[in-house]
Amino acid sequence: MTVAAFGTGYTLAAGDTLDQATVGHVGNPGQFRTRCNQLNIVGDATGGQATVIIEQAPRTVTISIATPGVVTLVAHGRPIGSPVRFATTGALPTGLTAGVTYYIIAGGYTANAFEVATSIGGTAINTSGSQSGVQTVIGGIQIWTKAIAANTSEVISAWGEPQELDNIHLTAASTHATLLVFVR
Amino acid sequence: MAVTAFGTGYQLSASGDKLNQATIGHPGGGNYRLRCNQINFVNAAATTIATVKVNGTIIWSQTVNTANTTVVITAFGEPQELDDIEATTLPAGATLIVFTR
Repeated sequence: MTVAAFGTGYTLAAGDTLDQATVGHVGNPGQFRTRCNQLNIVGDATGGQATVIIEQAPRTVTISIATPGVVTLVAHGRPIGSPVRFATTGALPTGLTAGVTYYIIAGGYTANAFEVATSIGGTAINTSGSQSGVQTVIGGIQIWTKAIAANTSEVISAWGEPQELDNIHLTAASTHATLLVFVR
Repeated sequence: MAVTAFGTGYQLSASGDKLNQATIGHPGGGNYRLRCNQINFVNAAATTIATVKVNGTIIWSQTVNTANTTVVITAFGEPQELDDIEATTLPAGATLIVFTR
């Protein structure tokens, strides 16, 4: 976690999440969401690819050890193509890594279960080995993904009135880019 | 219908998905129109054609040849009042992101 504050703005590196615990309730004590003015991506001297996701609170799931692995979550409410991350208090099955963004695929998709791949529409991930602890999934919505050129800054979203958002996450797979979040 | 809310924003993820007052209620208090800050098209596969309509009129139609890229369809300095936003043609894996206030 390398979120750094600058005034009422924050810098996120790949894998970072800006949440209410970090922001507090800037500008409005009754406000339970981040009031975001603008999002900028800044490419470093190499340039890369950045993906920004808005995420909701974690939910407990069960994960089968199978070919492919199936994630069970009653009324998960996520459409096909949605990004998800996993966390655990113990160990995830082999094949899944905590903090990495996966995508829900069409195969095995139901209202209460889904399978994941490393890319949208990709091949289902098989799970193996053993697991322990409580497994959780963090579901999200990908609002932005784009290549960023070297030594370049791009305004990915700017709002005349602050946008109320849930947690803002720069995926771990993002490369050579940082995310600036301006809040009010 | 695959409209999903996030904060005061919404994701449309299938062709024919519509965002209107019936979907979002009245977040603007007494405002009876959808108050839109920005619309993004988030692409997955390359070479896809997307079309967006407002009140049945095409406001954006484009072929996006780059995979994993985002196009800002429109952004407003002050929220724009609109009636009905439809992801008329949305390729598999692509989504339409509507930020509202």
